[in-house]
This record gives sequence, C-alpha cells and structure tokens, in this order.
Amino acid sequence: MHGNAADMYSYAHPWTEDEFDLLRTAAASTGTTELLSWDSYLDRHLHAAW
Amino acid sequence: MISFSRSTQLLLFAMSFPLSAVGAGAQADTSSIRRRMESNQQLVAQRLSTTSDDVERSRLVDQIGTIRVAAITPILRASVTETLRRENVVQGDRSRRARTGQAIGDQFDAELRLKLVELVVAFGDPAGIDALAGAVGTGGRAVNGIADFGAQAVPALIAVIEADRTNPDVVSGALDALRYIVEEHREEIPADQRQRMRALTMERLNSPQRYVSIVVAAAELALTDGSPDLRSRVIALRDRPTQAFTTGTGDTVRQDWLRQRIEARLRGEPALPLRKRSRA
Repeated sequence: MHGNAADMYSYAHPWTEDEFDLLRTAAASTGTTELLSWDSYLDRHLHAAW
Repeated sequence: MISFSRSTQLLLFAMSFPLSAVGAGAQADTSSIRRRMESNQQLVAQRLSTTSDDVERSRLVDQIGTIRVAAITPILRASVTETLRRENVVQGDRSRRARTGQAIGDQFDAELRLKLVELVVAFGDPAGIDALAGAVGTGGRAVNGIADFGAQAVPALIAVIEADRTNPDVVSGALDALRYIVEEHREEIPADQRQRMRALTMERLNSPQRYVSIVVAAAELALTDGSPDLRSRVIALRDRPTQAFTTGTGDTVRQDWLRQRIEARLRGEPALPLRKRSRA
C-alpha cells in the first residue's frame, strides 16, 4: 500500500450490502487505487486507498 | 514451513543486491551473481506457484515487491501473474458464496490481491491483461492498469462482464476500464467489440439493477460512447431514475446520486472516476 488508506465501518448501524455499494460508489468516484469488496472482510468494513 | 520461508527470504535478499555493487573489472563475478539471482528467482517462482500457505505466499509477494521490476525474471513474472489469476478465482468463489447466503471463511487474505495487482501493473506485459481484467473489482490501480493496454484489453473486459454479470465491483470496474479505453482509443476498438460493449451497457440501463455502482458506471460509459440510443436512454433515466433500480433498492439517495451524475455529465463535467495513467 502506498499513499493514504481508510478502513470505513459503521458502529451505529450494521450496513446492508446495498448501503455498502453506495458508499463504495462514492469512494470510487474520488479516484481510489485500492477499493475492496463487501465480502473481503467478515466485519464488512470498506478498505480504500488513494 | 518456517525454515523454508526464512531461506526464501535469504534468497530474495541475495538477489535484491544491485549488480553495481560488484567491483569494477569483476565481470566474471557479475555473471555468476546474475546466474545465481535467476536461479533464486526460479526457486521463488516455483514456491509461489505451489505453496498453499497464505502467509508464506503473502511474504513471498512482499519480498518480490522489494526487487526492482526490471530485475524480475520472466519466470518470476509469470508466476506472479498466475498467482493473481488464481486469487481472482478464489475471490470470485468467495463472492458467489456470499451473495447466495453461504458462509465465507475468515482464512482469507483480501489484500494479497492488491499486492499482486501492483506487481502485474508494473510489469506492463500484455500477457497479464486477463489477470488484471479479473481483478478490476479491487479499485483504480487495476482499472487504470488494464486501460493502459488500450483496445487490446477490450475482449478481456467484455469477457469478465459476461462471466460474472451480478458482481457489482467486477462489473462496474470493467465498465470504468472500458470507458477509459473509449476515451483514449475510440477508433482502435473493432466494430464488433464496440457493438458488444454497447449492448452490455444498454443491458444494464434497460433492466432494473440492484447496485447503484453498476448503473452509474454504465451511464458514464454510455455518455462517453455517445451513441444516440445510449444517450437517450441515460437521459430517460435522469428523468425517471426509479426505472434504473430493482424494487426496494432504488431509494432516493441512489436515485439522486444517479440523477446528479447524469446532470453533471450533460453540463460537460468529466466522467468519474477520473483516469489516472499507471505508466508514462
């Protein structure tokens, strides 16, 4: 991994796959280099890097 | 297993020595070191291809990443690329299990594929196009990396969309890569492939989708392609975004996102995500 990374997770609400997809789409629009998936981690966090 | 990993690391450490470290006039020694490096890389390639230990595989890939790309032998490059192909299959199976309600194990190194993608993109070898196509669901590095190959990557991208029509990350990543290629190499794409690409895009826009990522990527590609049919369909979805989504998934947030993206494009703003070239 190079650059900046973020692991996003909701502690207030266990998000659904569709909500995850919306967040992932928003993250993708910013030009990520790395962006993992709904099934990448058992805790469903979204890993992104720029 | 542990002793092998240590010996492997020693081998990799040895082959990471720059040849310039050898003293002037020591041509015979330089040749000897080069042969030893190639032999060591061959051993590493074999180990990478055969080990079933995720931890060892990840360590091997980490160590390969410390070597100058130009010093990595064709055998080791091929092994890295093949490992990415295998990891794509593992991830694909895991995604299918997850989407059909089956259990997914916790013994999975999701970030190994990111390291492999970085290496395969750096190789810049067309032999890795299919491996990168299978990894477009991992983010912009893979998507931009495959787009760097231009029109020759189009068949592989069409193939991954046709093979896995429901994985939102794979489909949206492949649509983004196709858009980049249309932006830069529009005239080089053979007519039959362009037609197939348009048909796959229209398919996503004409039938309600569960995932906003797929709808948005299809709309961005459609407007970049510019064919009248695709453009008029996107404008129809701007006016009636509920048509874009399957019942229960197209809430107002997704509809607003789609409408705002389409309006931005029609105002002349660039498609997102923006293109980033991986190689000069």
